[in-house]
Amino acid sequence: MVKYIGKRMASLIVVILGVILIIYLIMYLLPGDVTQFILGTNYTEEGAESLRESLGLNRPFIIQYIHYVWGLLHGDFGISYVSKMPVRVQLFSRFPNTLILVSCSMILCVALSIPMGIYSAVKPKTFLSNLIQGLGMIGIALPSFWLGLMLILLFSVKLSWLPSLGSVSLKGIILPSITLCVSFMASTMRMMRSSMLEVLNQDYIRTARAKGANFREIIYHHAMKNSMLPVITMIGMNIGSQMGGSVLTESVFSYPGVGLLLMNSIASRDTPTILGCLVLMALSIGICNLVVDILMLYIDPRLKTLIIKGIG
Amino acid sequence: MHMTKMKKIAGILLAGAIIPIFIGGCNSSSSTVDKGEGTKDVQGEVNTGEKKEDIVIAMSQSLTTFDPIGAGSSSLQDQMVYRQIYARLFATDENMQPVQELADSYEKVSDTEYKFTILQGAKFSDGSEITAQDVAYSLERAHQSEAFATLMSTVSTIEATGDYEITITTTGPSPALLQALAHPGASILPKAYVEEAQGGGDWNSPITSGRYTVDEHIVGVSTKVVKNENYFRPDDAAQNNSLTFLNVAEDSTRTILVQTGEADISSVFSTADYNVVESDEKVTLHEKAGTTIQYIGFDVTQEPFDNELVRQAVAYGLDREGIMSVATEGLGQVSYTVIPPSTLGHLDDNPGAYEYNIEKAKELLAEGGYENGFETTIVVFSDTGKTIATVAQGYLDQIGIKAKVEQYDTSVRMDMFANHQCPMFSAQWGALADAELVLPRLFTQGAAYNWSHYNNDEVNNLLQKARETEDSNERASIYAEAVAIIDKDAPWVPVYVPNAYALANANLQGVTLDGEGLMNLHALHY
Amino acid sequence: MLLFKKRNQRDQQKNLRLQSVISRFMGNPLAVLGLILFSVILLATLSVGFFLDYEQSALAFNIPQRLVPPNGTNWFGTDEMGRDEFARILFGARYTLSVGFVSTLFAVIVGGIFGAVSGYFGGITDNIIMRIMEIMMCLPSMILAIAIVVALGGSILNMVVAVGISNVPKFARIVRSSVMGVRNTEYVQAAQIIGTPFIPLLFRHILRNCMGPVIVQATLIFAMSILSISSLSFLGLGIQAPTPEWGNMLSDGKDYMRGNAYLVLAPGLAIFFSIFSLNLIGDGLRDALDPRMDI
Repeated sequence: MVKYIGKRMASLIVVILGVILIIYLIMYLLPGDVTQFILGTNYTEEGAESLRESLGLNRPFIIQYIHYVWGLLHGDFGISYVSKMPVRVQLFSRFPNTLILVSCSMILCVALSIPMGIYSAVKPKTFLSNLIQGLGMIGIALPSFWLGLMLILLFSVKLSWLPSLGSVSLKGIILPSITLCVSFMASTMRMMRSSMLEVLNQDYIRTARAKGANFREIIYHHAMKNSMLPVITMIGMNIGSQMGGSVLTESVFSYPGVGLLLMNSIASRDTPTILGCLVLMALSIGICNLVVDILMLYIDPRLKTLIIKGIG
Repeated sequence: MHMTKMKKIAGILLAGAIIPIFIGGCNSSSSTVDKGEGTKDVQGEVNTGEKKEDIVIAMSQSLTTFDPIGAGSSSLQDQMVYRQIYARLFATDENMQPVQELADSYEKVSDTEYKFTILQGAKFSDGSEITAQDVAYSLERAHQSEAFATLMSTVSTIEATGDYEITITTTGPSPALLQALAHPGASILPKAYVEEAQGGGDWNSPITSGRYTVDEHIVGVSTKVVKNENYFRPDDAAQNNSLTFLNVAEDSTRTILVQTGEADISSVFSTADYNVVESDEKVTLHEKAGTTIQYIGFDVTQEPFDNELVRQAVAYGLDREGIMSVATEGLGQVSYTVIPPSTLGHLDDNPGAYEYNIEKAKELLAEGGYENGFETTIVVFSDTGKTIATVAQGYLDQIGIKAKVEQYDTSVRMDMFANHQCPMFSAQWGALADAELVLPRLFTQGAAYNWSHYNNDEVNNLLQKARETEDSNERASIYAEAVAIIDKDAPWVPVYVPNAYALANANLQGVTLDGEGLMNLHALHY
Repeated sequence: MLLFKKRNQRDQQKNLRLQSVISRFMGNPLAVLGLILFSVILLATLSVGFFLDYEQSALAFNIPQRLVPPNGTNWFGTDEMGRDEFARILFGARYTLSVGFVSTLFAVIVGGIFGAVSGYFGGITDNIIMRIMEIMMCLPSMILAIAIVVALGGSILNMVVAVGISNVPKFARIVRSSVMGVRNTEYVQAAQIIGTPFIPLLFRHILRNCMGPVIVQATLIFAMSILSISSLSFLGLGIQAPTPEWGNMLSDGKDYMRGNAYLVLAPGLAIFFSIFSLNLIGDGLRDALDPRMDI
């Protein structure tokens, strides 16, 4: 058990190092001379050369990468070219906001999509079930940024119920959370439904039903538990996509999260901050995946036996 | 099987029906504004509560730095913050004329010597006294800085000659000196703090001298300043408790924020919303003829714009009216000259005017050796700049020039210009009333804002001559002469002078505009 | 001889299977709805060049005619530069759809190669490739795409790579498991003993075996790519103005959205219907290929 978790963490470290490597490599290709941006109007050839020296820019790529990762281990994300402040300070002032937004959207997504999915699987031929499925298909195809604009038009401008500016407050987070969660909600709902249908079609459920066991009991005790597994995996993976999606949502609502910081630093070509945002997002996704994996162990006893037997 | 599928379709159609309803809701919001109820709602919120003491200002950019001569010093948005937190010897009134702030009195001793006496007992926000040393240090720092050197080009020395006295010597009569001292770049900061901040690089909790002190600064998001209890003119102190500068990059979002009451005033108003706010009783649109100019500039040291004919071709190829109608819904004044009417030396009847003429443009382009056109990039730093560039892109296409539009953040523009990274650019310049503070900063070699890298000896000589002249009529005609040469050389294609707007909550009192936009934020109150 | 006969039989089976897949697909009204919707979009996109001139109707602006609400001549009204919104939507489909399609194709080909190599060689090669794929799966596609476009610029080619690359692992996995499955079958082993070259055999087999899942996955990923492309352009990172791209048009139109809501409605609905119809087709294909599943 502990061994599995340890093994899982080791592979997480490899994955995270790989992810940082990919992002670092891509950013390394970013055109333009960094020293020009830092020195700006004070640019001279000698100045640039000594700056390159002090920043370690003329060392080989792989050394720079190791240096960066070493810095990360100490919580050092580098210094922003624009604000001249440590990137860490900006990242950590924004990161909780993104975390709150993603959590709110996750909660909303789970709270709505799972009951809806179960309902439409259990009572597949009702009007409501069809409506839910129809909404699901539409939800998946809705571009979130467009939905965000429409929500602002309706709820802020027309009805003036909710603020159009996203913020970490009860009212300010509603519209961004809805915008962020709609497409995930639709896909989770569909997953829940199909997983539930599959379980309901299994022999043991059929037998139980034939024997006259209470239908409700079957659904809530047996079917739900078993059908939740793929849904939980999917929710875990969704956290990652939500982090990515938050870039769009945050810029539509000017919500002060990491996504907005990313967009701002892209506009000012502030490479250390861009890199920091991307790395932080990838890092938190990696950790999320690990947590989901461990969580699955506790939910699914079968998995535990597999691991104990050494198959996992 | 078939039935369920059909039902599924019915479900989708039904769900689909929700979208049009939704859209219908959105549509009606724009055409029939439900004023009666809406007004009650929002005003009710404002009136029933306590008197609102925090004024939220929606800004188009976030504050770059608290250093008044730092990277953000040329941004009107940053200057708006500096004006609140830093005092200068002089402030400006609505007509952009200098009025005493920290200066108690001043005296022109001779053509080359000015004496200023500052208020006794004035204090910084930390309670320490503002001394002549601090003032001299702050001014000297601005004088030495790249960004403001041209603003104080006639100044030779700045010295504290007493506890409360500063003496500035100049190379000649300097009629524009007071205006220069009223610029946010000439803000007064404590010497000790600046030295420390420059050493450690941390500008984030400045000690201030103005009506406000910094409460909270969240990079890229907001800046909150609260009333400075130590402000040295208590009778003229802030009429609100605090100001929150909120960074809202989207034009339409700023308008919505003021309409919904989330912000009290918007510093940069996008005229695309003109009709929408006209019919809204909850907000008031304040308007004033502008003193800024929107232009498209060239880097005259780079090919192909080092060729005068090419620049002139572009100037002929752009329809100012067309650009202005897209960028500002036609609200403004097209311009064929580089300085707005409010500035000394403005040419009403511009001899070098390049009015829209495609044929002429193509001819000049061919003459310049580019009959097949060329490719170039228009660099922009704001949404308005982008709109102008995008329309210009269309006009340029008509004469065979393929232009790309690239948008960057304001914080990098000084560096980009210094490094010749902007072959063409669309920008805005807020012109002060005295041409001495405008032309030398824009069109002389080495000047920080000479983004075109323009240099013309004839112009240099005229500007020097004007500097030594005292009579204002005579100065006006010298400047006009210089402007005519610049217009002809076309380092810029001046496009239009936009009106200044501020969109505010209808109940907000004390809104004042100058030609650059919002001013006297300390007077805002409910 | 025996092999030949077997092959003939297989071909017949294949035809039969294809027929049943088609008939199942056509028997699914939702899938047919999707197919019709997408065909209409595709047809309009392909034929617009015959009726309208790109430069004239989608790029050249007409300032006196700006912001005209929808009417008989301008079905979707005109934008802030007086260009016909309808024409721009149609020409915009060219960019959005073709970049989406090519990036999906890119993912299929690159993913297919990686998957085949990985499955064929197995062992350490497989381990390395799959580890890399796992790492790529960990990066949300949006973040990876933003990183690539920021670093390389928003040209059409870069968009193809940026959007396509994060889908590579999905196809690699499908092809890999298919190749691994087939390597050890008696049939392939027998063929190898006879001396039939393995690679062409593998190709045929991969094509036959994973065509179904790949097509289903590709259809759904095509839809996702359209979303990614318009998202990037909406953020100002993708295809740049004045090129009519849907995300781009949305971003331009949003300043006018309250007075001229059609400027955000038209591109938004265009994106929506493309994704919607492709999803329906993908779901229908999946149902037709694997009748047990009912999603």
